[in-house]
Amino acid sequence: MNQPFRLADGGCIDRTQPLAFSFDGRALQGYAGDTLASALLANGVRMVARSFKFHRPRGIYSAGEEEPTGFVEIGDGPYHEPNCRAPLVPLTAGLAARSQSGWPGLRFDLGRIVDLTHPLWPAGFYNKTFMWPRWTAWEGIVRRMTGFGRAPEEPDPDHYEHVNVHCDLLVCGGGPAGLMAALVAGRAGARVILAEQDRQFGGSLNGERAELDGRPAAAWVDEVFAELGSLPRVMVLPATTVTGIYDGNITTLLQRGEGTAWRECFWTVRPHRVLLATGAIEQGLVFPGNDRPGIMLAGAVRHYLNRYAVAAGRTAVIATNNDSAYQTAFDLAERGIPVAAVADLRSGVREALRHRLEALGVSLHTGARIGTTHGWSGLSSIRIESLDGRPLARYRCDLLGVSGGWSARLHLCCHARGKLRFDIATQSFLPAAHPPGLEATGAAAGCWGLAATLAAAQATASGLCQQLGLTARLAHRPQPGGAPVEPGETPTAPPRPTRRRQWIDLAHDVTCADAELAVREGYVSVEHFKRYTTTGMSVDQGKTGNLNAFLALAGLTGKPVEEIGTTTFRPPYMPVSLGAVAGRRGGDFYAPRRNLAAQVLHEALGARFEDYGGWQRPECFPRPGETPDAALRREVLAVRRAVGVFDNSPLGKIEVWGPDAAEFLDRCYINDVHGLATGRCRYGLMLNDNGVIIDDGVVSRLEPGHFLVNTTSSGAARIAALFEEHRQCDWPDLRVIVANVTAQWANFTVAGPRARELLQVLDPGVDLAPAALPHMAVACGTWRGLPARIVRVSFSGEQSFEINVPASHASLLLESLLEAGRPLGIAPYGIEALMILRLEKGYLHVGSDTSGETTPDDVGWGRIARAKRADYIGRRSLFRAANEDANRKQLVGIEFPAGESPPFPGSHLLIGAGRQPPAPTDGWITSSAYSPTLERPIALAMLRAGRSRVGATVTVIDGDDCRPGRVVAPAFLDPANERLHA
Amino acid sequence: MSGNVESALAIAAAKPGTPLAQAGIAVRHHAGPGLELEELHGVTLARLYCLGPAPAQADAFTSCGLTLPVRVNGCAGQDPAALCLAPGEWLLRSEFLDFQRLQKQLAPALSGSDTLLLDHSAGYAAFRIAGSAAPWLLQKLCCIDVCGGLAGGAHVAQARLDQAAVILHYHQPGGRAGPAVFDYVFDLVFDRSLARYVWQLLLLSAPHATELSSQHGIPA
Repeated sequence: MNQPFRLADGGCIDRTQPLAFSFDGRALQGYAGDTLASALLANGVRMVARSFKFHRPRGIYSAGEEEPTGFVEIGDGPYHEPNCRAPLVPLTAGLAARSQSGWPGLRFDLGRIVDLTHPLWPAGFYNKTFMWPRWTAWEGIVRRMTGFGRAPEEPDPDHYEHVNVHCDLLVCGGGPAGLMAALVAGRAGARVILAEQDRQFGGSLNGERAELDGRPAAAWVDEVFAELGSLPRVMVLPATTVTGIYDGNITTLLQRGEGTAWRECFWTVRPHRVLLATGAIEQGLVFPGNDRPGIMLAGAVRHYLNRYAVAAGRTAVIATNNDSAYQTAFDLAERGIPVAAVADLRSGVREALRHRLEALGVSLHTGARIGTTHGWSGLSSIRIESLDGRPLARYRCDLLGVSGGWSARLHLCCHARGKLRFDIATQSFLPAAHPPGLEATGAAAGCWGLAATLAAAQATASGLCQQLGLTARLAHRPQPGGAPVEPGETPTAPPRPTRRRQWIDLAHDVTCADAELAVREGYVSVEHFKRYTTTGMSVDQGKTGNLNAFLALAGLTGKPVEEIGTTTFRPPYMPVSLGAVAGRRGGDFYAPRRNLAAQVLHEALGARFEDYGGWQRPECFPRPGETPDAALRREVLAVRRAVGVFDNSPLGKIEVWGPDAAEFLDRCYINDVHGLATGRCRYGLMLNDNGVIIDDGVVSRLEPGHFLVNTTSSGAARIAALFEEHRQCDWPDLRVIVANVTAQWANFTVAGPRARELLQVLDPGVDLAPAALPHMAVACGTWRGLPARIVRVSFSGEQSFEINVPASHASLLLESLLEAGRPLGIAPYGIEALMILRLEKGYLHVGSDTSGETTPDDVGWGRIARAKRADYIGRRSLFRAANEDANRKQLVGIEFPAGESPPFPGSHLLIGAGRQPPAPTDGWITSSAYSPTLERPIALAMLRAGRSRVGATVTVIDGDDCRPGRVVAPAFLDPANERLHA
Repeated sequence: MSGNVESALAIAAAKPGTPLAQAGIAVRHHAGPGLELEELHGVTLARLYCLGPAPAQADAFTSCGLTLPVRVNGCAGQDPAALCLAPGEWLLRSEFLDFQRLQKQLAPALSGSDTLLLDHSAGYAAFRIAGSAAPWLLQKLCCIDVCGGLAGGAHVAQARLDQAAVILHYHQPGGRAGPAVFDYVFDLVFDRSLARYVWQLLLLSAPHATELSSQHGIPA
């Protein structure tokens, strides 16, 4: 037989399906239904890892997610995954698993030198040593020596799904309590989700030889599972871990796919009620040498035996402080695996247990503990001693099952801010008060024993149904027979003082000596203690180590455990892959890409697209063989000399309508809106409460009570929401309607000295003469029977018309403009050319030229802001002393000699020529470009008392380069606005 | 030739583009197991705003052949249908009336100074999602209780579909989408600039929705 530790029969594995796999390159075999851990144990692989700090040999310790030692890595290349806990990895054909620590290999590891010199490396050694020459010089070495495997370096080729779902009741855990509760609630008609971490429902029953109603418990599990599957409002999710509970009991689930197109699915559940049926985790015992491969939780030994038909060793000894481990001794012995002895910390043991051991020929030592263990790469013998240290017996064994009691799995309860209390009788933390909408049942609520668990689950589920307004129909409660031994009274088993090392936290190699050192150094608060020793901070989050740590701290400080308390359990309960969190939100779906209505036509015109505030917008339109820089220059000059067309559809368009519309806008903008004539437009700035500019735009009065507000493109949704908030919350007395119509209207800007000529060809049904439609005027017409709005505003400094038509006809309008403009020398221009055009004119771009402290006065709008008598948002703040300081940074232009390159935006300014840093900054460049019109670099800048320094020289710190620039007024081109009004 | 006819002819000649077509996606229909996706074309979508008390406004519109639901998220009427988005705010949709004709029909009720009707037909994209897996497709992408809402009959909701703001219109059970009758029929209405994103997101998510539907049914 190639699996020497596999029993000839039994177990829930499919022996007809052998699966080949490998560990560290060694070919091995398991069966379908195995986990990697069970298959390794079946093949006699005892050492699977080296410990985190001391590089000591480590084996499989548990049978679930609490595993603190059996970390391996699986897969290759992009499928490489470190830190997999062997008990959780389903065995698949061809699985390639490897140990992830040890150099040059697992069996011979030079890192063991750390173990041999362990007194040099106490807790927190890295905080006290390696200070010379500096910590970072050592950090790489320390990280290589420790760590948990390698992170994959290639992109993850798998994909992950997300699901949102609501339900009445989310049952966390598919063991006997969870199944019973789900059945009761499901029969009552509740929408139930039952999530079970294992692939197989049944929980603890899967690892026991329990009976219900005289049949194997598995038969009851199958029946309940089948009935749950038939209930239309019940969803059962196997292989699904509840990873966290958040505000409002929003709960996250991680489902692992098997044979699915996706690898993992991340569920966000919004349940009305949550029921924790999460069971309990067996705790280990702390004694000298308690970390060797072959030392396992007694419940895990039983689980591997009963579920996978695997004997975890050839000769076993059991050490315990409660009754439950006796079942392991019984099960092992009854399957023919020699059990040399049971060592019980308690002096009194129930007669029934004692007699059964005697019948099986197992020695019992009461009032006894493990004195020490021996073995190099795995356990070879143990010594049992009395509680006062007298040697009692020595046994040769390769398996030691330990049980220090059972601790309720209440991490999820803590996520929801539930309070815990320490139950002295069972040495377990239990729920003290349930958070709203959440309850626990079964072992998670401190209820031990199958009969009691089923009864409690029924009662809890009935209560929850009542809370949901449903009438529970109680399911038949099966009667256990041959049920496993319950833990019963579990006395405290604190670590004892000894010079030999005893591990509190196997995952992070934290010993009792570390705990003593922490307390000696004053870390007596449990949170400080945790951080100093790093106990409970590994991948397993201390599921088998925390209670040991609390007991150790209690013993060292002389305080009861209930006074020590617990550390804070935070989500996730188990590690969640980043892929699962991201789901589909990668690549093209990282964020929505918004397309212009004329996207296809832009593509045909050769546009280079770039993301601007989520919109895919043409950056420029390079012709074949033309560089982007050359295209920019051509586009700018086309606008200055003839005519250009720009797709400005993302421009924010908000209609404000109603008898109080003018009043509403007056309160929002620093400019006077009441006095705006119908058919005219006004540029405006919008401030926040602090008087800081948050947006700019143009307000057009279409009718006396009807305005069109153009906001910045990126601000459209934000400003519409702000308007809505003002309307609903701040000024509900105003009779006004706010409608965001940004998407409805495509907007094309026609700019240049021949703009009017082009529009006249197009004939939008509007008198375009300067007198009829002057700069800052608006008119409504029709074009080809479509409604058209013509707004004469300019962001380029040229004669400019913005034409708005329904977005469905955007391509048609653009096509028509290009066709009609061909004789006029028209060029489509992109957003980069627009930015140069506005820079040449010195127009402000909110976001580029403003910061979180820019006020209207800083950008030359102080007089208008002060002149307005009516109140508006931010007005009060404008008159604070700090905002009237003459030394505030003000918007200016900076020009440079021809032939130089433009400075990078963000370059700092120092007043005066020939200055050198370091020096306090006097300002910075906000926008810069090479001006094709002026043929020299130009920039806008915020400069301390800038307006008073026109004509002065500043030093521009452009990276390593310091060069002079001359301060000028912001408008580099056409300061008299002659082109604008043409 | 009357002005209206001239206008209609001109609009017809103007070759309006659907949001998907304008985003460069030629295929506007997808059929998969338990799921059909389709871009709706030629649907008139308008927003109606009322400043006055909703019941009084509703009465005024009833006489124009439009039933306005007063309860938020409620739906009324077939064509035109009115979906209540907020107090005093409705989305009107019609597959038979263009905006001008809808406006004309409602003109008597719109004559006051308290109501505003705005055309959004060109600003919105509209997709129809039909089939047994349709609730799961939406449930996957929306955090509202899509499956739980099925029992409530036709209604409307405003939600986020992944990262896109959408108006979700659930038709009566056994709704008709084109020639076929489906278990579930939903319409999504959203900003047209997001048409490509939403379409591709729905296609990408459809297989898993089908899988969920076959595994779990509809936990309504």
